[in-house]
Amino acid sequence: MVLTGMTNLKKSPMSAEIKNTQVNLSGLLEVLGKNLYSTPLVAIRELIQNAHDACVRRQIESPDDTAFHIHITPLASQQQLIIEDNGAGLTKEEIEKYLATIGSGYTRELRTQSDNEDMIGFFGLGFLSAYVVSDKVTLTTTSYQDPSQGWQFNSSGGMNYSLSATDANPTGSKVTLQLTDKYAELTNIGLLEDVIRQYCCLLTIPISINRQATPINQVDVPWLMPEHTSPIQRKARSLAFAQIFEQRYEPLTSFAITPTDTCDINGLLWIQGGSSYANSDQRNCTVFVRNMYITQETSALLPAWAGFIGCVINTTMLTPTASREDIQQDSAFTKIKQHIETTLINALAHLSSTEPEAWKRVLSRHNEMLLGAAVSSETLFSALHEELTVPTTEGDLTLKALVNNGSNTIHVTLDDSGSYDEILCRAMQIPIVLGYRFASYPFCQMYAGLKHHKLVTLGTDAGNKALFSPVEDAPLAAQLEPLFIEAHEALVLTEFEPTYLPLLIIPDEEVARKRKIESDDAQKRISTAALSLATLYTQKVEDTIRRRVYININAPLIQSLINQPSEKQHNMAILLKSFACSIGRINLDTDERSLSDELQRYHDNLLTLFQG
Amino acid sequence: MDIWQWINDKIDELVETEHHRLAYIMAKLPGHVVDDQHEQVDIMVQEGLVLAKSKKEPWIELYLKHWELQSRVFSRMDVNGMLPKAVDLLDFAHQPETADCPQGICAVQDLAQCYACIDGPGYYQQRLDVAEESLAKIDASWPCYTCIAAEKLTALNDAGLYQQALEFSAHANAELLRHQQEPDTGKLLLNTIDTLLLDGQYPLAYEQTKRLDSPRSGDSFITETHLIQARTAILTNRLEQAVDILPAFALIERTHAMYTDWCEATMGLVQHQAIENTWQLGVQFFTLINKLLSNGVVRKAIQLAFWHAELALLRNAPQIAQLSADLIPPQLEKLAQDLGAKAQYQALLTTITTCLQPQDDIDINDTQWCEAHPEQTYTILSTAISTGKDNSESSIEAYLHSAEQLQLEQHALQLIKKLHQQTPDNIDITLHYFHLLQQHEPEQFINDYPAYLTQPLSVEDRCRILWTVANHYQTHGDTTQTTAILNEILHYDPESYQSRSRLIAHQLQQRHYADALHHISHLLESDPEDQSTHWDQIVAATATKDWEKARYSAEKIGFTIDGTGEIDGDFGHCRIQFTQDDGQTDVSYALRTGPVTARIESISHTDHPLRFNDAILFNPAPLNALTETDEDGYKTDIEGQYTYLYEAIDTLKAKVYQRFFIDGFHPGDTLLEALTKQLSQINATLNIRSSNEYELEDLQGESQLAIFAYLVVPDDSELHAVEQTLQSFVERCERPLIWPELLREMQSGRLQQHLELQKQYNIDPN
Repeated sequence: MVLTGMTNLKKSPMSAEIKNTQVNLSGLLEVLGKNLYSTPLVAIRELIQNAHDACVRRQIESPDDTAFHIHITPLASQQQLIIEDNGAGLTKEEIEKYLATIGSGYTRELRTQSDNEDMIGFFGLGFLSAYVVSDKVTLTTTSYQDPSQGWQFNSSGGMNYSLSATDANPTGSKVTLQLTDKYAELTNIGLLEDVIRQYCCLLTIPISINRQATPINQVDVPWLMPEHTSPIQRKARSLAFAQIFEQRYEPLTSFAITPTDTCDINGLLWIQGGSSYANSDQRNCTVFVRNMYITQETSALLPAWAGFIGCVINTTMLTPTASREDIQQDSAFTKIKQHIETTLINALAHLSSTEPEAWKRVLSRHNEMLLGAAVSSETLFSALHEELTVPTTEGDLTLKALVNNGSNTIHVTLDDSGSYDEILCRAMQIPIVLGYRFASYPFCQMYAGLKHHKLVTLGTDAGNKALFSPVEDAPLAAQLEPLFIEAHEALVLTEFEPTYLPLLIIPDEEVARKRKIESDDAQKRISTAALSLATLYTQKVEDTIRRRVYININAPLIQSLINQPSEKQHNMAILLKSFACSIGRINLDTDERSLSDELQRYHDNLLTLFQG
Repeated sequence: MDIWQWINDKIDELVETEHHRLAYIMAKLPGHVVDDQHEQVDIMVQEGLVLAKSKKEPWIELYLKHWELQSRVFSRMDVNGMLPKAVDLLDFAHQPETADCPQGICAVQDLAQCYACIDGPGYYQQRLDVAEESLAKIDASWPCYTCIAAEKLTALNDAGLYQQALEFSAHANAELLRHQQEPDTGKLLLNTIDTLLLDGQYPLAYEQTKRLDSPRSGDSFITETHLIQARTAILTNRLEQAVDILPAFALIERTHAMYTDWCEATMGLVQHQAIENTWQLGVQFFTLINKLLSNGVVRKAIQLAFWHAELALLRNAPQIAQLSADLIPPQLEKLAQDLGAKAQYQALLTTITTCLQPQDDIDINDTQWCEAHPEQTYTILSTAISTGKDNSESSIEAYLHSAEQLQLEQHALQLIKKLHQQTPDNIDITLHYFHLLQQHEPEQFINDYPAYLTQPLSVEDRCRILWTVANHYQTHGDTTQTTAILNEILHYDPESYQSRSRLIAHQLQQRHYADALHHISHLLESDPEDQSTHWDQIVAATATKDWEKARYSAEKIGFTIDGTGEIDGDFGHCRIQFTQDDGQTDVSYALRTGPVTARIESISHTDHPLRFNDAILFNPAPLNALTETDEDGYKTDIEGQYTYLYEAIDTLKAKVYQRFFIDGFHPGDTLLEALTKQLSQINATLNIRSSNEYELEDLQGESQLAIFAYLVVPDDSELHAVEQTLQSFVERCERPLIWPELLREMQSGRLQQHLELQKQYNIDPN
């Protein structure tokens, strides 16, 4: 037995030395700085985050009435980008301990000590991103702890740095990035505006570019609106907020995600305005953690059936990955996911009563997706089963409309190739649900179960039994059986529309299966053990009735046949049967008659009748 | 052999040839299966099969059917539904057009798995033979090697051949290494750990669970990992860890293949007293047993039944244990081999019998106690009821409630049925029986109740039965039958307020207004001030043009309507919602002309019927509420609509109109106003549908403001006059306007000219 971890037990231990693992700082900086982040824009996010956290820190440790701000100043001609804040600043010791030490972040410590969730940073890696985009990084800072002393930190590439005393500035920090040629574009104002709006729209500290009066990140956040905001205003602003994150479609309507005792989350869900098709997956989920944008690629937070839904959430529960561009899929992720799903289901379930106009638009665009959603959620199914339409041979219908003909039966086909019973249903203008279309069949199954309706699947033995209820008439059966029934066939007297169809011949599925599996041909094709498993099943099927001949006793042709002289009856019966075989595309066994034989019989008997 | 390669290549090919739906389904299906998203499988697999067949892609068909079976058989153990399909798939996989498809190997395993579900140990030899046959055809480079090896391992486990299983596991891993694969940390390892547990090697099994890791196997594998970790933790006395890691019932309930492991772990925790052995746990076990049985799973269902019984006995509830014991005998006949099952069953029966003893009476008035102890309540009362000791109404109700708690309504139905047969004159019992029958066997109910009504019954008793019948038909949406039954109740009990009230609702729904009015009058005699009834009278009286009654009831609810005769005033604007035969709805704007009437003012889109100027009867209960205010202080609903929305009941007067579109360059506001006036003089209405953004290009390529409108004319209008008006008008315009639909209707020679203009200016009315 070889199981990993066990084999070494048999070797005798050797004497061992314990040594410290070494770090190649240059290599580590390269990996962390260049390969940790997927885009240089993240550098801007990280530095703004640091500035934000500095302001929050000052609020906690030295509260006064300071109006905090973060200023971004792009100097394109000098290829410089400056990020300034009037936060707590750093002392010399703090620069050495936190800024110049990778993996060491003050924010994490302060968050733990102060229990303040407003600070964003976590891994102590954010400042690294500055080295990715810059030839040189300069930090000038004055700490609130020593407002009379300023410090300047310089580093090129992060491997080493210089630290010198300088004149004091107003409390706060200023980071100057001397951008590389490759990243000179980071001075583009339009780019900066987009980045700040996307990444920082939930940050409460105003962020402006070139000290403009209006901050870039001033946005109406739905869950931060005053309580007295009217529902209509709230609705309009929520939709405007959703539009920031929904590039492809105009949101139709939105629902709030609210926190619970166990789920610290605020957010907004919306239904996309574009039409959806079945399983088109346009899930769009933007995640903020502690008001800082993390990712728009976490569609897994939305349920699989919600391909027409967008959402944005802000939470403290989720843990970003080291690059802070994705979320760890841990137990908190699962909890958040469940909460979002519950909120969405409840909102959809009540939408028709709370917003009937919006609901109409949603139905017209997303009926198919909602069918799939209803199949996936019992709550949604309960709420929506009467309103959703399914595709049928008579157009899209609600199942309520479909069964309103009093038959209490839903007919469904799983195949678009047409079968006897389908032909019948179409002739009788009975709508048939196209069960092979997205979600239609399971939806019908659930509906039939709920309403105690019959579900007849066309083209199956069970379906045939349901469609063709036998009629008891022993004398008639005795008369017709010798005319119509050959070996391995059974007669079933029944009644159906249209009456111009005198009979139908339907093979028995199980017997057909048995004959296929137990044929010599199967033995040549299928290996022994596999075939024996299959015959375990088929040997329980009796090969007596291979086909059932359903005689439509209301058909004028049958009634006429009954009254014919016996010699004519025989010819007529063969005619009718051959015709039924050929239109039904009956696959006759090779040891019985072929299709051409059948047509020949049809012809010969027709001729006999014509010739009198 | 990378069997995924042809799949990936095929998906790429489908995308390139724009068969996106089929590509999507092929790509998504396996993920849904391994993530236990089985409803997603059901949702899309039929569509995929039809698309594959229409594209004549038998390999894709085979692939999709295989994954359907993976979901239905491997995960949901649905043998009843899928065994014939598995046989069919085996045959299909060995046809000339599919013989070379790598998925054929998997099709064989799907069939083997069906038998594993029915009776794994009983069919172990056949399963072994099939696995070995399949393994002989492939090597360890195939992705399905580990799956088939895992299946062989399970068969060996079921046969009790643990050493052989462990040796085979080692061999399989060696083969994987030989083919430059990693040793398996997925399903094969999972089943090996199972072997270790069965072989009593608990500590080693526990250590091995730490290696389990198979990201490609999805959420399902994670749950399976947690299950086996819980089991190994229990067996190595790490009970807290086991409690923490055991997946919740709700998580495993949707995947039948996990039931046995979950139940086994739960049993272990109960036996170690790490969790409480509650009646709710009993209900969970019983639910799982029934799910397995309905799927055709035999051996595992029997095992779960034994465990359920054991738990019940531990709770001192032998009658509950008897319930699962009763499920076992019919299943024993279906086992391929007994392997001690009958003996185990006999032993269980003996134990149950030993434990059965007379139970104390309970105080059914102590509803709190009964609620907290449904098993005792159920067993004591079922004994009392079945022996005739206590057939009181309160006892039966308490019994039925406990049955509901325990999800034993079917059992309750059988007991109440027996009771009903013994005491057919007891109307309370009969009502309970019919109520249960109506819920659980509605067809039987419809069969049975008529015979009961042929016997002499008091009016009250008869009406109570009929009320149940009416409920049945109402549940099934059969308004005709519901109405007939309610009428029958009223025949026997004319004073039945409930029946009459419900009958009125149905009659209004069926538009039998005169009948409804008759019944409304009855109700108002006994309660002249009932507002709801007055509203109904307004509706019925309006529909039957009984204006006096309509005004009278309007007065009663606060509408004073002067005058006599038809009510046709101006009560402000509203919106009317229409529900069409196919269930879809559309909304039109209207002028409210009375408490329950409106005249449609809007002209609907061509997708919807034209109802312009129709007089509508509507349901006066609004579908929205004007609870909000806009910035200017006007009342609106939550969507910002300023008017109430009502559901249309009937069309009282339909004016028939024809609708044609007019499209083209905007003539200017002055001319347009003039045209509108001219048309209105011949009873035609112009309804502008376009906004200021609609433009067309003139012959110089410059964008000009355009207009799209509906022209609505009464059906009996002289179309020639309408067309003449338009023609005279357009001759004064700088640029063309067209109306080809009208010309087509008139079979006018000018049609061709308009069609040419339509083409020339690229006018698209859609």
